[in-house]
Amino acid sequence: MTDTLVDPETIPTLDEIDFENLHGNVGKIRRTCGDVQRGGSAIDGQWAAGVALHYLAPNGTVLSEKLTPLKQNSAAVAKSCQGAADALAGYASKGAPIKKALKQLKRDAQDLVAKAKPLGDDWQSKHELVEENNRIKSAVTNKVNDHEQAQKDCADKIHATNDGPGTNAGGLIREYGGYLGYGTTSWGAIVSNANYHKFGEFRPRGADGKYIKFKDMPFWERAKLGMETGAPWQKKLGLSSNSNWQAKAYQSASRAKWLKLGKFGGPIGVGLTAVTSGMDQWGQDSQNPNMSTGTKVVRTGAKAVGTAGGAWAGAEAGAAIGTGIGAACGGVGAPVGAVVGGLIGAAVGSGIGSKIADGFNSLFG
Amino acid sequence: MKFDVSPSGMHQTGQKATSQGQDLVADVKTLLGSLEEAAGTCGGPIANELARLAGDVSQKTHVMSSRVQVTVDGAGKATNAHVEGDHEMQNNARQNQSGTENAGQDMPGHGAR
Repeated sequence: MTDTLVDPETIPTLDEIDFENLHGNVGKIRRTCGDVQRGGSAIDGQWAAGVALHYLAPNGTVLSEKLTPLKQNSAAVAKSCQGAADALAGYASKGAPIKKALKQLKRDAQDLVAKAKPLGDDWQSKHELVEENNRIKSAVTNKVNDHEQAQKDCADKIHATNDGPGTNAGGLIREYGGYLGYGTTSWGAIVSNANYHKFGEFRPRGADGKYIKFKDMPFWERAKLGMETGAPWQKKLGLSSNSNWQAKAYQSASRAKWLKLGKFGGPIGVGLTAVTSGMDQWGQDSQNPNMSTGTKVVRTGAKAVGTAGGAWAGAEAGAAIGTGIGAACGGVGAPVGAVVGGLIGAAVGSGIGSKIADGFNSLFG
Repeated sequence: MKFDVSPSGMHQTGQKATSQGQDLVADVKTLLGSLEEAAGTCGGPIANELARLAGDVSQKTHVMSSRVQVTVDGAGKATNAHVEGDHEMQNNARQNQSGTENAGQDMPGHGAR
């Protein structure tokens, strides 16, 4: 086969690869995958249950489903990494015996050299030495090839588990588009909330992204009518523009604090720290005795719509909702946030100070 | 439709989601650490693929983190809008009531009896 004596020092023994440690890493990856998957599922479940319990209002169901993608994404991450762990386990299983065999071949080569070198070139006349030399060389070649194949198989399998970074652009746009005041259509295409209110008009969009008509009268006309005491549409609904709400001073201070929340939606990379900050603010406000008469906002029907103090500020808050919820709704269904923003935006455009007035909310409930 | 929104309840829900989100991020960091260790153990093409996977995991986690953020903040704003709506309507009712009372006092004949 060859006339050259094998050089033990050229035989790779894969010392740089610790297959035992790799088995340990595989176990750790698998365990953590389970934690990640359970974590995403727990967030989704907790959020859905919390919203169902504490947010009984139009779009509550949609809001409760906003963190379902976390469950899906965390499951996808777990699946990818489990796949990688399986591939690594397979590599470790194949690689460990190869490493062991190569080490043995190196020892065999050292023994061979110890016998052959004193003979000089005469070692080639010794049949058993030549055979051993050929066996070692052939085995080393085979083992190295086997290892390279095992490496390639493992790498290919890991590659197949994921799309790699930079391939989630669609998801990123949907998520971050919200920061810029955009909602998305059911296809994920970005639409600006400004479309809904820049001209003081409002039409809700359907799941296909097109404007839909509700009854025959646009909201802003309804709202105008609503300003007249006992407007026909209110009577029809069995409602009165005179509400049964108890008088209470308008709390502009709390509004200003809450509006600040909108600024927590920052650029990419802000992450959960910003959420925590926002939640702290939220916590302070929710405990602010000036913010609400109690811990609950309870409505049972349409209430008065008017232009008195605070109405414009309320419209601002509503427009901000369009941004926030629009982002939260990114990529799933119709742009609910834009709808909400549109409602309030319509009030801005038409000069009618209005809130999420229950009468027209029922149109979407 | 009946409205029943609890700001304190929503606050707790959002706070818990945020806290759970941070736990999830911690788990992902552990996962990325394990992938990095494995990459260091294997080297070569496997390390390259593990690095690519880690990038994918990081990006997905970033998207998840962002979603928690916008959802919690958006829910806060929506809850606030309901609170604001209450305040505004209460204020309107008070002003309407006040206006009605003033109008009554200014009516001809008022106080003549």
